[in-house]
Amino acid sequence: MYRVLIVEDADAEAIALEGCLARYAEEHGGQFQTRRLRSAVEFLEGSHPADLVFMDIDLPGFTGMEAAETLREYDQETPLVFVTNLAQYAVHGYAVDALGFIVKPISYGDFTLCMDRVMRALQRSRRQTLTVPTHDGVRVVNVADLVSIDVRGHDATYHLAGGGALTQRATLSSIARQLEELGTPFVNVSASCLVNMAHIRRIHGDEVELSDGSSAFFSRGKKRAALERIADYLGGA
Amino acid sequence: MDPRMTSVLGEAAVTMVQIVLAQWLFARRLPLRAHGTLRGIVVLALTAASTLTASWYGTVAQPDLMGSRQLATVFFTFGLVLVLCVAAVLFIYDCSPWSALYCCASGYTMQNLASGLSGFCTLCASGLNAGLLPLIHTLAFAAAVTAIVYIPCYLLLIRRLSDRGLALVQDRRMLVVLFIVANAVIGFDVINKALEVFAVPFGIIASLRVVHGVVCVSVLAASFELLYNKRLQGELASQRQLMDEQARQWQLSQATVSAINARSHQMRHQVIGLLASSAVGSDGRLLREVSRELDIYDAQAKTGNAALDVILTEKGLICAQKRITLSCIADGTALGDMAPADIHALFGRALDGAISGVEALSDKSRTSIRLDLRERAGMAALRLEFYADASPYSPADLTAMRAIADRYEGTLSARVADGVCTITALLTP
Repeated sequence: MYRVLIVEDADAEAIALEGCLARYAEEHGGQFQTRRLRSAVEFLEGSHPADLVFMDIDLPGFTGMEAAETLREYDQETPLVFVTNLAQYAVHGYAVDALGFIVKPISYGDFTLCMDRVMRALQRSRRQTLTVPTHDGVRVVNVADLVSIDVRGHDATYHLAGGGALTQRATLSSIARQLEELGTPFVNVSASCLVNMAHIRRIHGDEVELSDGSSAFFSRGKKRAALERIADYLGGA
Repeated sequence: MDPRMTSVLGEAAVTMVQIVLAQWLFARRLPLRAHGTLRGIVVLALTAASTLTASWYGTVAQPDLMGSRQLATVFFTFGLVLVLCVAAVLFIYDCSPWSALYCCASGYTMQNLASGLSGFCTLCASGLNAGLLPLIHTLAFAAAVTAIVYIPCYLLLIRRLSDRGLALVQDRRMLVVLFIVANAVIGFDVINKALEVFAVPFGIIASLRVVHGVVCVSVLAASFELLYNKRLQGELASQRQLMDEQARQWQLSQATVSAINARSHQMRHQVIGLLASSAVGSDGRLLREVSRELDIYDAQAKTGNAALDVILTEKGLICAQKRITLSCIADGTALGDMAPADIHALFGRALDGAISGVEALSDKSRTSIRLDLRERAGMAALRLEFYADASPYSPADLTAMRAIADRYEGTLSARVADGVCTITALLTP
């Protein structure tokens, strides 16, 4: 069940949006619990926990963009989708890390394209764990805390965010297979290294800078395929 | 060990090392297959074993092989080695058989040039000063000859082969000709070496050796020119022409969009003036509708990048005309110093394909195109999505877009899945 907040002053538009959500849930499975607010002021004044926010840009008082900027000061995670009359007003949605926007009047086709991306983002943010049998016993690790995994011989080292590492006796191919089955965002950058794409801070030539300050390097044979996967991931796949 | 076998084994080992080194120099930029290093070690071990076996065969199993039978055996052995080299390259590297053939034939010709030079030095030493012969038959001399031939070949030819250069080797007829010529050159070298036992005058043998050297150099240069350089130059010329055309189109688009914006701005002011004046009746509905339509034509994208603004505005106008919803979230600053003509070409082709893909749909409720461009991991991450029954991009479109992505050390891919066509790209502007 996903909690969806709709911030929209026009009744007709809000009803249309709720209708699209219901139809999407029916066609794709899943459930949405919707709640509606009529202004950005109402949105900012109370506490409105939600898994997804649809925000009209053209609201009375505070605009949707201003409300989104305030939201992002304390919440960088909740997916945000703008709803707007004119596309040019939402082109800067990247500044508030909006996932996308929908142009009014809402067409179901356009809504579906946008929602597919939203659902990928929601699924990506769900908590995943990985069981790692180390020399000191079995450890359960949050996949989001894994920065990279490198293998030397048959020893795999799992590098954790915030420092620390776990070692396990395993081959890279077996680890890669396990991570792929779990649907985790890891990419094989070389014959001995897997990198969590969520922890990529910067790519410069063959070097991949990671969030913990370490670097991994593309091998020549794997660079192209790895970059394509990273492009998919960073683009919202 | 039999001294004769030791000598033959030594020569065979030097030849094999030269061949392996030559193949490796040409093939090293090809992508390795899985466990490529292990595969290489297996190939080296098999090479060492086969060298030992061949030496044993020549000295112990068939010590009395002479004359034309010996010539034929040697020729077919080296011909077989060339074929096995192609198989070895395919085993170790992830490449097409044609690229492997080019690497092996060129590498083998380079080795033959070194072998010819070594033979020429031996001939000169025995003809001019027999005291130098022991010096000739040393590893140091073999290494020096190899370096004298391989280093210039590396600097003049091999170094100019780019990572993707070997992918350009596609003229199959010329490759087959190269393979045949390489075998002919081998045969020529074998015959030259055999002539020495028939008391042919020194001058004739020396001349033949020089001719052999010239032929080897010509084969290397010609194959590089015909198979690689010519095609590369042709591609560069086409790309230059394409870039000039793209620059011209970008300037045209810029002028067009500016003109449309100026005119629509003017018209909107006139409409506002009419609405405010008492000359208009109470029913100004039509004028208000015109004003709303003008909003679309006045909708210039402002992404922070002038070239992107122009192309998005231009395509936005086309989408508006065709009743296609174009939704863009675009941070133009992510494109950095990317050339305006490249931006215009990349986004222009991508959006043109999207528009034609959407127009071809039978379900007109799915006429939407979504474009997302942001800075991610220090790169510009682009995602373009639209409904499509099949990819609307021709191979030429994809090649052109990928070429632009390559220029910016990036990647671009296109796929259709579940009725949605997606273009994703990462660029380092």
